[in-house]
Amino acid sequence: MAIYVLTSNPSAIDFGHVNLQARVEAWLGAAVGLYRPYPFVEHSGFSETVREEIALVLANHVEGESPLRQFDAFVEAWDLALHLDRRVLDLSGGWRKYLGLALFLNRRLPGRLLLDATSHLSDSRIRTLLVRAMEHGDAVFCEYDPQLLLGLQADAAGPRPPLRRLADDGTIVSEVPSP
Amino acid sequence: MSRLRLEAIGFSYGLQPPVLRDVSLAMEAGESALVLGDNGSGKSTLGRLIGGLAPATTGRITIGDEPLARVASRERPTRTVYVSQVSYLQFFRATLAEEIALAAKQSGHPAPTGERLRHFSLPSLESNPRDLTYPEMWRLQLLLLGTVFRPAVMYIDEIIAPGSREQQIALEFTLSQRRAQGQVTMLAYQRRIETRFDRVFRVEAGTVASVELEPAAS
Repeated sequence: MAIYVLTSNPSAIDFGHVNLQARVEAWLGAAVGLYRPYPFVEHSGFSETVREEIALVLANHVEGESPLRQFDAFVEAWDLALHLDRRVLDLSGGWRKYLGLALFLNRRLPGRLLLDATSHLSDSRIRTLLVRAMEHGDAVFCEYDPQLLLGLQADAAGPRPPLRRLADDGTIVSEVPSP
Repeated sequence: MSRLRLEAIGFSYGLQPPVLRDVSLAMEAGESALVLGDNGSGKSTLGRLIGGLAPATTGRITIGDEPLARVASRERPTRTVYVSQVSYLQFFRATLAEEIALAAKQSGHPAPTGERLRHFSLPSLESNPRDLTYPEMWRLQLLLLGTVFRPAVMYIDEIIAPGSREQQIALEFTLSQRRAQGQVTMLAYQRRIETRFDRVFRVEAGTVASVELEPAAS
């Protein structure tokens, strides 16, 4: 289980994600699930509250991608208890994005490619994201500002998970040796 | 007289507990501020109130000597603008050139050319705004609102990729222009950024406090 920070052309995030996903899969040698932000619409639209949204998603995972955590464990692992009875649409933009990311990372996938996952998230949300991403499969984060992720400091809750670096030149993804 | 003044502002969404309580602050002409806060702290709500998109539940906002509540909605964009996180929803035209011309026409200010445009590192003016990357859209929004429209007060809700040199150049240029013209600029974000601001506020537990930051470690 490793976390990679992929540096690519920003236009690949917005317009070239299909080919980028193929290059990442070629490098990992495995299929990946793709997270793309739909700005601030991180919501199925079939539920009202955060509690209902989580229950709905957990009950509808496709076969072979069973939830890594069920309801109570999921809420605790992602620090969502305070928001359970709020309407999803009343969450702040950052918390709504974080909820969508949490539900995505709760899918049992062999690998994940996350595009622009960390913008609009505070450092504490990002740390939780990284810790959870380490738990199952490989995760590749491709950000507009990779330095933000690479420069994230450890905090009182524990060290930041190790991050390995990848580079995408538009034709192939390769690992960047650690300095 | 302060350019922007908030006096004992409070705000609640419906019957929910207040998001902001008893917020008072003042910004002078030409000042810039970084508004720091965790996710859900109320940064966007503060911006929506300052931008006039929602009325404060309690208290008063004044721009110059004019209470914001008394400004007609069609006049409001010349006084105060809230730049939302979903900036791509706010483009109307088929090309960057047309989008810039529209902002110039609406504002009565000249469209930027040459050197001013170069600070924003935008692609060809014939490009469709919807074909820009998210960071490019952010810079276009900064150009259109900050330096063409030139509202007296502008609240920018977050910056995309603040570590990128292009973003820093565009932001610093915008702040310098607005400082010279006596306009107030506020930028909300989760963490410190390299760009220097005159003031720093922290939004936390429904309150807004002016804070002094230690110099960033180099």
